[in-house]
Amino acid sequence: MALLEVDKITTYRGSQKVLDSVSFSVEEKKIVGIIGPNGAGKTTIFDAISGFFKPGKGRISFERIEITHFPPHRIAKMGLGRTFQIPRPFKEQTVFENVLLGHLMSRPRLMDPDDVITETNIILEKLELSSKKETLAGELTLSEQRRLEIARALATNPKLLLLDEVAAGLSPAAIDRLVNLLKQLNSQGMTIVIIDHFLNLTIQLASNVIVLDNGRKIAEGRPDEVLNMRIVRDAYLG
Amino acid sequence: MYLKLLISGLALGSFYAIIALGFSMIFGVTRVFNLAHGELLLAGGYVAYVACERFGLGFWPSVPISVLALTLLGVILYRVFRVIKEPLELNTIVFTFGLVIALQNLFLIFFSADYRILTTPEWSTTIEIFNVSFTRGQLTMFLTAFISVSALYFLLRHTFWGKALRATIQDREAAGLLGIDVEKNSILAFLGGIALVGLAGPFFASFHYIHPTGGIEATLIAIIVTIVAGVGHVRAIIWAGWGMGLLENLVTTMLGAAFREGVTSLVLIAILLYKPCGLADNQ
Amino acid sequence: MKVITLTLHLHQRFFPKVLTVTGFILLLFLVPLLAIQSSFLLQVLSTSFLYAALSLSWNLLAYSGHISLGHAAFFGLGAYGSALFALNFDTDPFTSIWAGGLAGALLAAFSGILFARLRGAYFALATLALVEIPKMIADNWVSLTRGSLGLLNIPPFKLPLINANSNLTIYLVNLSSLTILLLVVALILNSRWGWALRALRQDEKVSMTIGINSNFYTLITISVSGFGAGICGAIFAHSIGIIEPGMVFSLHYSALPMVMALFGGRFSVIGPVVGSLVLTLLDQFVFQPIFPAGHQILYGLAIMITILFMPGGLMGLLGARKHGITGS
Repeated sequence: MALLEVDKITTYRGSQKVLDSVSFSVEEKKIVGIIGPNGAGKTTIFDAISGFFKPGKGRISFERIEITHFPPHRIAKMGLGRTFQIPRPFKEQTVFENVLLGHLMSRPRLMDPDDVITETNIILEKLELSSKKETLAGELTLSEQRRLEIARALATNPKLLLLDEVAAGLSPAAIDRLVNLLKQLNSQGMTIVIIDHFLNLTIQLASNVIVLDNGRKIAEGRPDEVLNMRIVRDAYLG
Repeated sequence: MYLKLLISGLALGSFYAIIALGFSMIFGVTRVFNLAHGELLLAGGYVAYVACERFGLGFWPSVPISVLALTLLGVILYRVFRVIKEPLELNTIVFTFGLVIALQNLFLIFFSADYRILTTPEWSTTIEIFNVSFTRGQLTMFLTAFISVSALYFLLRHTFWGKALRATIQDREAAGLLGIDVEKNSILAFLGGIALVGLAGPFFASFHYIHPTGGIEATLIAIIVTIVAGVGHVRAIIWAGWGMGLLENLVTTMLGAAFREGVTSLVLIAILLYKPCGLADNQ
Repeated sequence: MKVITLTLHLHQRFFPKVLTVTGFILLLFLVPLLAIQSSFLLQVLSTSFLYAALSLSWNLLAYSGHISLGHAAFFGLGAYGSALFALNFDTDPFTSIWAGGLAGALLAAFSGILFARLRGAYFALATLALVEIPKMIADNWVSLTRGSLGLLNIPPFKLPLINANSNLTIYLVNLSSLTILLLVVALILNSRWGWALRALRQDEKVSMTIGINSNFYTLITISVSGFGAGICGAIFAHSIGIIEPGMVFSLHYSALPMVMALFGGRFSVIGPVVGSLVLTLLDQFVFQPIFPAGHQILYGLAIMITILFMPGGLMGLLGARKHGITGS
């Protein structure tokens, strides 16, 4: 069953088309990669899905409910978590508080404080941030900030995770750890969409890859297939 | 009757254009949102008042004195503004709000809460041109605004320095990369903006009664005109200034002076709702 | 309540802080017994409590990242609302101040909706302009407000066993209101609501992606803030007995709460109270004697110094964590 369906969305900036009739769907428990050169419209897709603007045309559905016109907080509460290309932690808060915020704000009613704390600790453990619990988020390294973004999104208890360039700027070792983490999350049932300009993660993780260029979807398929397509190579090189 | 309104409105509007130009130049290069603009105008007015009433100088000699005094104040302000941290617009608005309070009280200490006016009897004589009578004061205001704005327009459009300055306003970093001395330009434009306020100060004091809390309305008008026109658009600022002058005159005549400040505020709110990004230049 | 339990889990120093503040407030309640002769001190302290309450209201909104330059609008409307209610319906001030608070809250909610798209400097500017509108109405609706003549004979507060409108009555009323408001603000800031504000202040877009309804929280926050300011205006009106448009809808009451909250420390619950006490005492005992006409220059200087040299205010200098949960 398709968890997320994007149906022919077109968006404009001024009179210029940023996305041109882009469609794709994400099956439950899959990892999907969105790749493409700079300015292809990848982040715009995430912004449209998470509700920051209404696309000029087209529909977006999540769990078969149309969410095209829903405000961001409502979409988040339905179980759609996301991270940002440039990490945006709450810098004045500690790592623990950042994750806690994700938990507190996404639930319709508050859980028992002990459970909240336990759950927050488990997420921190999973993302190898336990030792940094009391550190201010603004003082973290890039790699830690990226993990914190994922941790905060996970704390909202999402069904679908949208990750925007989570591997950019990380060392190969850090990328390996991230790959393992995402594999593990996926094996526990998490559906993930990854924007991955440098193809660090998609090749290893994605079962399906969507290629964008200039706001259009130019190809879709298994990573090895797609990467061998002429049109994709041209888009990246030219 | 309406013609008279039109003329005095245009004279008032020309005055607004000068102070808005000052605001626009200051904001354009330093992104300082100067809420104390009207108080600086008052400071110029008080300087001219002292020069005229205490030292017996005439109106015209008091103008360069006011310009000079404010330019000196500007040098200090520029240094201080440089220290303010991000978010710059919000922090400068709060800082200059403090400056408003400080200056208002400084005026109170030195000049008390009395209403004062620069008496220029020769300005109330009327001149008839094409059957329409102007007061000499209106004519002077009109001409002063016209000359200073044309001069500035020429400076910005047709000199190398003006082009460099406009580049600095549009994109500081790019201007720097092109070898423009951004720092020098900024301080010159800032001081230019302040000098314009110094120029307008004596006029303010001779048209209006000045009193310590009389600056905020001028600030609001300068902001309205700048937002409507867009930062650094000299010709548009003249049009918007005239528009505001006419509107104010109309309101005063139709509804009475009691509604003027209220209407100014309503106009500002309406404009902010229409242009929520205000002075930021993204469409 | 659950979030407060959470706070206790996270911050062991929470109880000592609460105890210190409670002790200090109790001490203030005892001041009249000791200094009953010095009615000037009582007056000054009463004023500082009123300003503290106003600053707390202002700061609640500032916690969401919205800096208001127009709290005089809510303060003034509260003053007029309460005075008119008491005069027209012949009620006790303790009843009518709720009408004042409600008037402030309604205007605040209205401006919250109207200015929903404005941020930062432009929100500040819009609120600055907002003050003129109720002022214009109060000035010109002569049949109701008597215009610039103002309202006279506004009934004073009466407490049992104490002379009506004595300094002591006002002292007790102001201190009690401050205490209640402090409790309310502390509860809000330590609840899920307070956490939402903290997140919104730092990054609105990210806050939305973790499920925070930005419009909703901003609206209820500005309403409560306006309610507090309205109550303060109402108390002011009944203590003074006379109000006129230029007096309550003045730049003064927009500036004061901001100055005091920023100077005391806007990231801490108690900061605005500290700022108000320090600045009012400094104003009345040091600046007033030196510059009788322009003593409020202090407030201008205080805010400029705060912006330039101590963004966290006095509490920041004392080491209160900028992002603290309890912050008290």
